[in-house]
Amino acid sequence: MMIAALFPEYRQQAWKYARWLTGCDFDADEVVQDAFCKLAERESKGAAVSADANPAALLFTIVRNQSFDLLRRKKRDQTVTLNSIDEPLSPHQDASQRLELYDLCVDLREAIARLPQSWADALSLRVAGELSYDEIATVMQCTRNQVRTWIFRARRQLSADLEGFRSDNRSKSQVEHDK
Amino acid sequence: MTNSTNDDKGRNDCQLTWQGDDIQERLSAFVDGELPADKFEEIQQHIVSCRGCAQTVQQYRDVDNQLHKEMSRSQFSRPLTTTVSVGRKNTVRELTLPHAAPSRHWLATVSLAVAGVVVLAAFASGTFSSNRETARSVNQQYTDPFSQVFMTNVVAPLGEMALNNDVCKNQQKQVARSLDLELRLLRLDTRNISNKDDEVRKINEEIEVLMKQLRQLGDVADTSASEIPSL
Repeated sequence: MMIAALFPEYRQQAWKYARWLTGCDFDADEVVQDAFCKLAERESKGAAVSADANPAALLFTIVRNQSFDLLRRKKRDQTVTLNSIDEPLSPHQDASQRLELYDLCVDLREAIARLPQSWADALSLRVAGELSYDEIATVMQCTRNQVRTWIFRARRQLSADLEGFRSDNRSKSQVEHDK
Repeated sequence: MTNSTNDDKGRNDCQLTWQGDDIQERLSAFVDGELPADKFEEIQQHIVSCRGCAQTVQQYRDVDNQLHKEMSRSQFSRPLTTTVSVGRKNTVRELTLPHAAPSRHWLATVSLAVAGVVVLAAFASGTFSSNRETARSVNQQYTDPFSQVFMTNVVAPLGEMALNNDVCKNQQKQVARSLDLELRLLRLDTRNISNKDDEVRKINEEIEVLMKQLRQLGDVADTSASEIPSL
């Protein structure tokens, strides 16, 4: 597949995936730009971005490696910044809704951070990259069955965590209401 | 396929197995559409009648939705439409917009400074008028009619203006980044098609359009222009 076709089809997913890994919009921009430039370079040298190679898997492999390189370079800690959290809070929501959403965002990120790297990675490639299990297996250099198991375990863990956060929030609101 | 009932902590009252396979793992693959057609159909029919499995599927979809929300908080500010075919890697240079919204920014800063002085004056006059008032001075600032009018008509709009200014600057920065990427990709294009005059002309035109857009955003265009090779 030519990069010209790859670019409009996958840039958003690649950006989401890079954003997930780096935790920063601007770093994600940089990673995706570099990834497409690398692909263009490959293509100009006649290397395989061809039909037999899986171009999406190749793109996400590059995005993944670039993201890890960037994180390694910056030695960025994975803490949640207030700036990154307050973006989704709409001014139309009241204070308690905003606080609840804020808590949920923080909790979700903490829950993701607790997952084993391979689980989180497989799930992010699936959700952000919208890649198939086979493509994820190519990117992560593992088997399709491993991918399926990792995604399932990540989902099960996150589902349990989210349920826990929600019930905590409900009980907190009940206590406040009773007061 | 076997079908048996258990409590499973009240979450799932059904347990299906296919040759020892975990049903929940199958449900996860079902959510991803990664099952063979016959198994997919089988689960689709099953969850109609099984509340526990339907709930599990819904939970997995909830997780995906939450992650989607988390991942979709910020997007490219506009679609990029450049076609890329060939080229070499280029280092992406940080673009800044020195004139993001200068007049509003200047106005907001000065107005906030003036507002700060007025607030301090109001606070001082209110709090030093008597000892009792000093004890609850902060509350009084917001209950007294002048402060209410002041907060509503001056402080709140200024705060909003400053916030909008920040948002505006971020958006402009993103647009500049997108344009920068497009210019770089176009430059990559030109490197391998130097013998095709028509294509070169077309790309030149595209570059011109983009440069014009960058110029509208500020002085960035001038600095970027120096990096575009003459064709």
